[in-house]
Amino acid sequence: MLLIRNLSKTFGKYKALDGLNMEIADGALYGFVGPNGAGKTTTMRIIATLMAADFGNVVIDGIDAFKYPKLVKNYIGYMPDFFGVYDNLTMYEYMEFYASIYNIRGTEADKRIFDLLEMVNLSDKRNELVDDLSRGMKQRLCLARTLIHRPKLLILDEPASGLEPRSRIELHNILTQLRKDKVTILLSSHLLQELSEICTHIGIIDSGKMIMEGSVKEIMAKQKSENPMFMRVLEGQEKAITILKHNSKVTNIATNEKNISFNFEGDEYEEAKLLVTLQENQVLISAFHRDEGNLEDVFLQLTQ
Amino acid sequence: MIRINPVYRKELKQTARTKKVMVLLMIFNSLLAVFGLFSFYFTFHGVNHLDKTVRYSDILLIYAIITGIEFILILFITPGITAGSIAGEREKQTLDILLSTTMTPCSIIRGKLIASINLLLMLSFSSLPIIAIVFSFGGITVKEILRLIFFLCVTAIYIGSIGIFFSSICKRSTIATVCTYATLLVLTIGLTMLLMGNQLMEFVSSTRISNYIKYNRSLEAGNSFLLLLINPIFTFTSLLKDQVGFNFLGVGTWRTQHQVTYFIFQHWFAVSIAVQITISILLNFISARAIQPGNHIKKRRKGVE
Repeated sequence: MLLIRNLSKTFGKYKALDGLNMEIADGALYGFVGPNGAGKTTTMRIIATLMAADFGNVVIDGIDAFKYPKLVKNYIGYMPDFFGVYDNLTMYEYMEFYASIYNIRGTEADKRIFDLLEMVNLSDKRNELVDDLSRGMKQRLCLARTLIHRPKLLILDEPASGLEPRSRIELHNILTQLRKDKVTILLSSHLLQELSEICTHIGIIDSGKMIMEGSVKEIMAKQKSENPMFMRVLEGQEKAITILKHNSKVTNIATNEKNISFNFEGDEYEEAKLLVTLQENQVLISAFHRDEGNLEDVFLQLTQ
Repeated sequence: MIRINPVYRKELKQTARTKKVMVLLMIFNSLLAVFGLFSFYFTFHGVNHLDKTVRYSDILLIYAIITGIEFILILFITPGITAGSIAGEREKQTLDILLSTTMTPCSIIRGKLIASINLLLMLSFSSLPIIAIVFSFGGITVKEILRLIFFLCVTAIYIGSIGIFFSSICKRSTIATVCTYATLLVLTIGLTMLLMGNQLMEFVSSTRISNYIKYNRSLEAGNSFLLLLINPIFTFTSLLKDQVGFNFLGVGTWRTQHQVTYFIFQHWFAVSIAVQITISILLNFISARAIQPGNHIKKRRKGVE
């Protein structure tokens, strides 16, 4: 759905994007994460045709976004990180305004507006003024607005920022539903744990470069070998420590009562061999595993 | 089916729901009525107590005063309405959303401009009953009233385009408003003072405006006077000259050696209207370019590929 190659953008002397590459498959819910100033918003604004790049290519559904920005706008729905709404317009009129921009009128517009407001749980407030809505409601309304022309790619810049937990859960449920409806979603957020729960793919950007990209499982697996190992020793703790100290692949041994943690550079096969060695030396072990880690750990390791 | 500009439609809805329009209509027409009634009173007060004669040319002054006030009000109201149009969208953080849709910057500018003119047209039409005071004496035809409305529309488009231009290039609506009013001042009073300072002093020192108007002047004017084509005050005075014969600033009577300039002096109203419409189109084009997100194709030509 989206292919970015060698994207660069500078603001004066500041390099916001430095040869960024990115690929999002059809129907993916892609979590775009990175520290503040990493280039997430700049990337999203370039994809949304709101900003020109200095160099590179952006292809959306096979169409060059730089050559045909007007055409590409039919395929994308963009929700910025900060946005406002219009005074003196009801929710229905707000939606109708954007529908009319895409030349969607009459009963077709009515149907789409009703369905979308129903989807974001705002159909009962369709005649209320948009300016009077809470932030969470405005976020949901804006999301509904981005969907009015049935875009193939949704670009959501920090859609959950400033939302209370219930609104965040509601938003995530809507995004999950949209993914089931085959809408491709590019979503930036700082809430990494939640991203790992709802996203199919993750891209981690730092200093304008993509430093890791792939499915959530792939990313976790890649980082797993660097996570520490844990074991709970019921009997023979001293023996266990001696064995570990003599293993060249073991470093950073730490003990806490019956628990021992250490870094191990070996693969799964070597982990199994280590366990056998420990058992052969009469060490009684009740637990032996490598820390699964989470997206936050991966993020912290990669963006140090 | 006719497709109405979505921005225009939205602006209409929003404007119609504010008290601002109602208040503006009331103040606008009240001011016109007050000035109209005062000029009416003073015209006839002079007849009754001074020379006991009716000078019908003076009665046409009522028309000149009412339309003059209307023109000045429109000059002052238009920047206030238009200068915040695009900058306001930027401040409310709705412009990016609008630009990410299929709506072109030209359509956005057009929608904003038409919405502003719509309001000013409403003001013009609402003032018709007051202007119609002069119908009771004759001298002004419906065709001339329509010509006046056409002129007011062009002025609204012209000043509105300047307002939208500053609104597009300034980040804040207050700065855009200040810039628009400053430009308007330079365009009207500044240019007039620069080119016709002496004439204006004479006008101010004359005891009776009507005497001054009748004063037969013929000023030697250079090509620099053509700059006044962009000054709506001169367009207005040339309209008044055509309609009621008053020539405040002597447009059309200026002497020149140059034939083309002479032709322009003779057809001031039409030429200045054409110049102002051209400037408006140009300003709207620049405004659209100013809000257009980066020109991707141009960047590619510079070596993106």
